[in-house]
Amino acid sequence: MAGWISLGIILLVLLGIIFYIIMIYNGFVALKNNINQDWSNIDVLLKQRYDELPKLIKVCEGYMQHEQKTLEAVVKARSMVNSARSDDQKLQAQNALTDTLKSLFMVVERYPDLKADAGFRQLSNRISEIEDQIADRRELYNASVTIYNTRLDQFPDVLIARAFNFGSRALWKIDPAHRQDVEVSFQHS
Amino acid sequence: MSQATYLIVEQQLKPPENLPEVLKELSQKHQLDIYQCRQRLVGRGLSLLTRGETEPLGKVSKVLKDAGYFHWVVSPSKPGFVPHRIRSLEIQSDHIIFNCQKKTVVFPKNSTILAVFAETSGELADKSVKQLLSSHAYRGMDDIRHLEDTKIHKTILQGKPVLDLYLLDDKSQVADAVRIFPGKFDPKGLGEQASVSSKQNLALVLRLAEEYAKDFHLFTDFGLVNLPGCTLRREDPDNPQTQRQNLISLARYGWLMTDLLRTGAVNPPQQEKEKDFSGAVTAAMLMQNPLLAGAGQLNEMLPIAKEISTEIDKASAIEEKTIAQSPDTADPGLPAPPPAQSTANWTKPGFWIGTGGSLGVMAFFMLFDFGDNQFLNKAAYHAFATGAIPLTLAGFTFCSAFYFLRMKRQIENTPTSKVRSVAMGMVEVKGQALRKFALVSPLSQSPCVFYRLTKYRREKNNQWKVNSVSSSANVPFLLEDETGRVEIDPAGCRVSAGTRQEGTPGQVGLTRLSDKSDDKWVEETIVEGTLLYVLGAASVKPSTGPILTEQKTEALRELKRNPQKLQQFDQDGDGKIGADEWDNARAAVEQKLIRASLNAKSERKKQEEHIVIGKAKGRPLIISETHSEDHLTARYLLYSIPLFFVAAIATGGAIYLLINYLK
Repeated sequence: MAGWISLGIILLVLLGIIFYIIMIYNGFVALKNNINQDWSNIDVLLKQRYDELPKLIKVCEGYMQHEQKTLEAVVKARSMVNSARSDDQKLQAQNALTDTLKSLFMVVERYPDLKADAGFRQLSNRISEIEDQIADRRELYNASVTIYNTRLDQFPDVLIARAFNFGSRALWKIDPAHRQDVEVSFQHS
Repeated sequence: MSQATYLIVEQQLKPPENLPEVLKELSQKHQLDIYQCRQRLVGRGLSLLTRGETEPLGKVSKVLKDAGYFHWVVSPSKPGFVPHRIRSLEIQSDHIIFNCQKKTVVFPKNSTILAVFAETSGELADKSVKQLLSSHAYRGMDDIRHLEDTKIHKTILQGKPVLDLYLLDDKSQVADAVRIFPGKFDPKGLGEQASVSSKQNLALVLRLAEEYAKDFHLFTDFGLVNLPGCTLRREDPDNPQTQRQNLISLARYGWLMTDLLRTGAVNPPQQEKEKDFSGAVTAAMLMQNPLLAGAGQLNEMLPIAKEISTEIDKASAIEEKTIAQSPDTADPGLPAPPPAQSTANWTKPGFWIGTGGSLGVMAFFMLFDFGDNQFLNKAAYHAFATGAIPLTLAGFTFCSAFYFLRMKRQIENTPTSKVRSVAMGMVEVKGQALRKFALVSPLSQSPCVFYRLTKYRREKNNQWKVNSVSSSANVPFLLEDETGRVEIDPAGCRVSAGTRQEGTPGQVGLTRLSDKSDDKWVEETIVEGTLLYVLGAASVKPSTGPILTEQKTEALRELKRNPQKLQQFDQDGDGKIGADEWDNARAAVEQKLIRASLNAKSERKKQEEHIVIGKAKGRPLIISETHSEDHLTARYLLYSIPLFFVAAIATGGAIYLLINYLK
């Protein structure tokens, strides 16, 4: 009887190994797709932000007659997003748009009437919300990539990953310029 | 050795602001337990704060007086006798005669009577506890509501009521006392007022006693107060002594009340004025608290002594008004939850059904005697001898083990989303559970986001068998993290609840547990505020408003009813709406509705208003009360290991049987 049980266990272990390989393989596929989905989910929010911008610019134009350069920069960055094709280009264009939006909101400080405008407040709040959500989803994307990359290096997953050529994915990284310290200077009048 | 003196305090529902300082002083200077003191000073009714020598109690009394507490420093007298049980009564114009077994007791008119109207089965105590627990669950610690006096009277009458009447002399000493049980006396003496209901007759005697008394003091809180020797025991059908002990306690309670009446309360200085108007009426004279005197129910149930009730109501109105004006009471609270889901049988995960089923079939074929039925005997032999049944068992356990491993990896592979940026599809969120509805667990009466109540029945072999399961799986709740809230729909999920309590039927809160009961309840709850892990499919909530065509029909109906608005579409000015004009009107209404709908959609909704995380077809939904994700994944790993082990043994057995069969 013991011999048969041993045979059963060996067979079951073999079956288990096959099932485990399938499970790991499927896990890698699911993780890869999750990463793609997380990336696309960021795009959804970027698109929402992109759609909100014309309304914001329209509201700002009425008040900011002397800030045509800032507004044009936002419009230009928005069109760059539209024309970007590769992932790198898209990333750069989105970063540029984020920068120009920051400049726009800084300039708005000089226009109290604009700040008081209900339409502007609503739009700026909406864009701020989207910005927060974009940041969250970038974190989520990075978390997904980290899980995937960790699995690639772990045993026994590494064996399956190498056998089936699962390559590592890059984390979302910010523009190096954003790592620099912000200089704050107080001008005495 | 001198007799112990009691310091009995009248508790306050809303304790004074300086209570912490008072407690500190009682603890540091008078060596009283700070927690026990707090418990005995906050609430409703009388409570024994401490006992001891008269002198040190006098110092404690001073502290309580300054803090605004009515209290008594009393040396209780030993009950001289137990009230005599009455057999009949006679009502005369100037007195009531109570005929007891051994003597006749006469209650003259305009005497002082102290009445104790008590419930001796424990039902009132249960109801009071239930009220406190539900009040705590719905309103929190700051606004606990006790049973109203009317409810107390009704509950006493519905339970096992007993009425004790004490006749007091000029010095408030007990001159005589009678005890009245419903149905145990001849109601003929009540004359035309006698009713067929024994309990109504009892209420009538109470009313008569009040009518005949000059000073009437009514006490209804026996069993609800913490006083020495006055404990009410739960009625036990197997132990007839409990009823006897309860009646002895009731006598002690009555005598203690007469002691308190005789001694008089120590009044806090700022409340001397209240004493003036409450001093002349019923229990308010003793208790200095009109609400305790049962004014409301006296007025409603016993239409007597108008001047007494009027006085009490005046005093009560002040307190009731204060309660009504309290901002807490204006809070509408959470909406009521939908009714709980009941299932006849326990819904267990598939692997248990598979594994248990296979083992059951195997045992059935091995142990059951099919007699002369050759077909079944053959089937049983071949099913087992070929190894088919062990192999089925191995298959189920193997698949179950892999199911748990897959779940483990699924949890590990899903990153945690923040609630405000939850995307559609499979998501993992962590946060604090909050109620969306005013859901309270049925047994422990705790505010919870989920409960599952399993009822078991004891079988002949002393084993517990699941009788029914009800749960709040149809009641959604909210999950809150640092970024926002999202709705969780637990339908279709096997929720892993962290709090488990057992009880027996009839139990209120956690007050009664009996080992003898043939029924058992097991309550699993996720208490509000617990940290939860949720893995599920996020989706947009379906719209609940009327669809566009319904809105259009209603808007057109409205337009037809309004000739002035309809006139706008009368382009040719003939006073009638032609077919073309009506088409224009319909188009205009439709445009307006579409525009309104689009505007509504563009408005940003809160996350909990438009996103729900729940079960999607073929996707797991895990709701678990767990400290960490690692803890949860470790649990899944722990489930899978023994299942693999069983699968291995079953496979070995199946191969062995098959080879033997083929030989």
